[in-house]
Amino acid sequence: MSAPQPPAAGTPVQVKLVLLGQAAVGKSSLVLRFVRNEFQENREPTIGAAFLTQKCKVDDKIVKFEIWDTAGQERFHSLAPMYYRNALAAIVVYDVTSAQSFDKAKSWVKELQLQGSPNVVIALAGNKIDIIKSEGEGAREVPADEAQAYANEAGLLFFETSAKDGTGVEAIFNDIAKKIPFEQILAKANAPRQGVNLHEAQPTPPQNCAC
Amino acid sequence: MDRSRVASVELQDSNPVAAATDTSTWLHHGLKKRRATFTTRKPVSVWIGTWNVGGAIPSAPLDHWVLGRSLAHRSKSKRPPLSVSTSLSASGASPGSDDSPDTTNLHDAGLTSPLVANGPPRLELAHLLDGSESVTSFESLLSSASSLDFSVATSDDLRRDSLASTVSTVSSVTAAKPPLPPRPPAPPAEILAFGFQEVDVSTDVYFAHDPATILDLKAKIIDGLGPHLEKQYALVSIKQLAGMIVAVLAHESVVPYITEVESGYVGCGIMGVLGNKGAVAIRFKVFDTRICLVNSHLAADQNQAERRDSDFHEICRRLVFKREDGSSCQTNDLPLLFLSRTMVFWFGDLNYRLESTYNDVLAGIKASRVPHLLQRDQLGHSIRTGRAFAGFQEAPITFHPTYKFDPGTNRYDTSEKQRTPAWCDRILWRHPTLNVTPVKYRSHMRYGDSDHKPVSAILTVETEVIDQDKYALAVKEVLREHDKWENEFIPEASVSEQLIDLGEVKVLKPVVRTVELRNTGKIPVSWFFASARPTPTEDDADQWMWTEPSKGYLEPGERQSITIRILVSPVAARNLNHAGSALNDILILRLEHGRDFFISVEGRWLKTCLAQSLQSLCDTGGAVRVDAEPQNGTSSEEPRHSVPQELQVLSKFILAHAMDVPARELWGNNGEEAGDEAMLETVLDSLDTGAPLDEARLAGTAGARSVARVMLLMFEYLEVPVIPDQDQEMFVASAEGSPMLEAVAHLPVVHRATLLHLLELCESLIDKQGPDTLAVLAEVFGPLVMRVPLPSGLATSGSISSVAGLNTATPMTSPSKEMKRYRTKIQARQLAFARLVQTLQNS
Repeated sequence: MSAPQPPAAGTPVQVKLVLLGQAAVGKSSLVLRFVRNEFQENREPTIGAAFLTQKCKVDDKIVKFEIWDTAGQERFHSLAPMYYRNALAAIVVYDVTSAQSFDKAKSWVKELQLQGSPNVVIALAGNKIDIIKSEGEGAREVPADEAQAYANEAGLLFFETSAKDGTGVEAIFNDIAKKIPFEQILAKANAPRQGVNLHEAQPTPPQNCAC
Repeated sequence: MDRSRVASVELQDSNPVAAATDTSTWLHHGLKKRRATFTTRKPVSVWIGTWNVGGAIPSAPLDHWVLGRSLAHRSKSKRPPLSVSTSLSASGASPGSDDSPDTTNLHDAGLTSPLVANGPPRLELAHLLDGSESVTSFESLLSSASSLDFSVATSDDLRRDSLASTVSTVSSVTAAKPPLPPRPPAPPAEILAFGFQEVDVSTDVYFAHDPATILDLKAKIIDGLGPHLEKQYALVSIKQLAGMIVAVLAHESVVPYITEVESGYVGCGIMGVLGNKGAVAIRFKVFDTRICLVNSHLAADQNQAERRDSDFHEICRRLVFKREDGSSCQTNDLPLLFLSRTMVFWFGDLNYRLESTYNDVLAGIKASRVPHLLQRDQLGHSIRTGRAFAGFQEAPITFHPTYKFDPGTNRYDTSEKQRTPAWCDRILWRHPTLNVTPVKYRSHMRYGDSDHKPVSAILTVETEVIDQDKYALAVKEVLREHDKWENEFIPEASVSEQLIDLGEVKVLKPVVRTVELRNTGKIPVSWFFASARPTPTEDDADQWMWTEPSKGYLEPGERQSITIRILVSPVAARNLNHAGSALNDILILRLEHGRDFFISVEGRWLKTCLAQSLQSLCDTGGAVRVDAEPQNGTSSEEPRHSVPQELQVLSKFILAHAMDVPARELWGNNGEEAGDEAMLETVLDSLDTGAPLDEARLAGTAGARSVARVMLLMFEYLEVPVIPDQDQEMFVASAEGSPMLEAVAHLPVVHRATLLHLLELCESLIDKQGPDTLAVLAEVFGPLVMRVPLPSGLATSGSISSVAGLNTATPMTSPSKEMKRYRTKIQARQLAFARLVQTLQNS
């Protein structure tokens, strides 16, 4: 009898996620809230693309988001494909107090749907909802129902969020994780040992037996 | 027995929290640390019995073994137990305190409670002992002792209960109350594990089991439980290897929590593989703890202690489990005892003997010097010295040796062999963290079927129960913590500048800037400049920016100065001239496995007359940087000039100031002189802004050379050569005179005018400096007006070196075929140019 090999440690399913949106809508702040549960007022604009990772447990799998937080300034627009290329998930962010940023978000969605990965999961995030809470609906330029209707039509997940008070931040990442078509990814990757299997009771390939 | 329930036990696989094991090591580690936060402990009572039945299924009912009592219906009607007094006289040994359950209880209790040991019940004990068993008293004892509901927290409680009942029993007996009607027996434990050895000692059994054996044994077990209890238990599994059989039953109260039932066996008897010795095992999870029950029969004989040790290790090494459906199990990857969370119970005829003589042991037994005898126990020795069963525990032994009896009696071996009595039959357990508390550990002297007496133990076993919500929370916490580590150790750095303003940028005028990169992270950083272009080519002729170095490595805290060099070659200028006045690019500085920095490089491009087309230079009319005022309504077809103004300015200067400079010196490549670059810039600036050449500054040979150089550059980098590619062969083939004139006439008007302008200049120079000058001029201008592409592989990066050094036609590499062809072409063009000049001279 040859000794059975110990199983390789499972690795989480890696999911590249990109944040897109007009400058100053709060992309980096959403990431900071999600990853570190922190918030900073008046952050410096992102000039480049920040990289962070964060893991979520979805059913019996662990999803590791590799988050690319991109620069929102228009002059860097041409570099965006580098980041959304191969991304399985995208969060397109706008500022609920800026109609212009919503228009820009729509154009990002369009670009993603044309040039992104075929199965990219897109979530639309109307950020800075805390301003509406503190200053009232008068401050709002993008009605929630309008954004929701647009999201339905375009097949996006939709959340109103606040990186400042944390509203909706975890939900957006969790819901994205749930929508990732793992079976397709794993089948495509043709790698049977991707993804942590939290159930040890899963059937395993037959091993040498003692008899 | 309830078959459907058994099935449900086997199929149940719903426990979602096997997660705590087998996953990424860090997750495993984090959950292990937090285990206490999501698990609670739940005691489960386990009855384990082991019996070497000596070759046949025992005829006596098992009730006393399992329940600690005889079932009322049976004890009245069927055979009485072996009489204690008989055994006394027969063996000559003390009856031991083994056969009476209350005795065991008291012994047990006595270990922990001196009060009981010394108190009044002891007196009553004697009374009980000298008679046959009092069914009534046992019954009430057991029903209260084991009506202990199974959620009892500790065995101390258990013991207290049983003590209390003992006391009440005793008093009831002394009060001589009429016997109570028999009450149904209470379940002895939630899990029952039976280990039999030598059920069948025929050699046939090594090769094929008689299925009847298992059926008979099951029937025997069921019969032992009695009609009342049998309904409450389900068979978890029963396994046989030759004469060894292990069977596990579970009480209905725990059946729903039993999952992942697996079994395995190892034969290590004859030839090291046959099943006359070895082990059969069943394991399963109860709640969230895996319990493994190993029934083994180790090597026999007084002198074989080492062999028994090695049998133990052999079984550990070779024991693999299979699911009841035949599939193998993940946890087979480790030898049994490495499975640190598995609660292992190991029992059977372990066959360890006493290192003593027959007579000494008998004397010890007679004197009830059990602790003294146990000092000579081989198993205890093996455990203490770590030779086998390391880490295993056992309840204190208070009963007499269970081997070897004359069958049918309680008399130790009186045969010729006079085997030394020993505690061959044992029940051990092992778990690093969970507690096992013995409630009972006893022999059953009444059974006479075999040369061994059966042994049983009741144990309270801590098991873990995982709280799903808390578990999920712990997973989240572990992930979060791991993310924190991971993100903390993502490469991090800072750059001193992310916007580099170059100001005004001119052709051939180098600009140098530096950016500082500092590793601000906690780990070393590998960095490099990435390209946004899908397929970057190093030798892009229109590249105008270089970084030095373009990749590197920084330890935490280290800094690196990165030089950014800008030099716009005439080739690069061509694109910029078209693009307009903005000069910008974004450098992507990438930290490997980390972030990207964008470094924007911006400048204001100043147009140049180099690398334009003759047509556009003529169309512009004035200098390229001066926005030509739109000629109102007069967008004439004719260019404003037929020869670019810049060329006119240059040749005018040469005619006025450089006629005395020898042609070879003026046009040739004699190496750089100080000031050349600055003067070159002056000349280009004048041309591009339309300002007159600064004659004072350009006085002398150096000035003249600068002017001449600019003229050569203009010709070299014209978007279309003076003689366009498609017309070159015609010139090469044309003889001096009219064929050449015809060829010239063939050129577009602007090209024709420019060529004639150059030829006139040459003519003037030859006139001034003599006919030898022709060769020099032909050598220089021939390949410029009729450009020949360099052989592939020789194209110099960005043309910078060739431009700067005017290194037009002298490649340094050793001649290859291609190079020879190239030289031939160059020569043909030089000759053609000479014929052009001569044609003009003669016309």
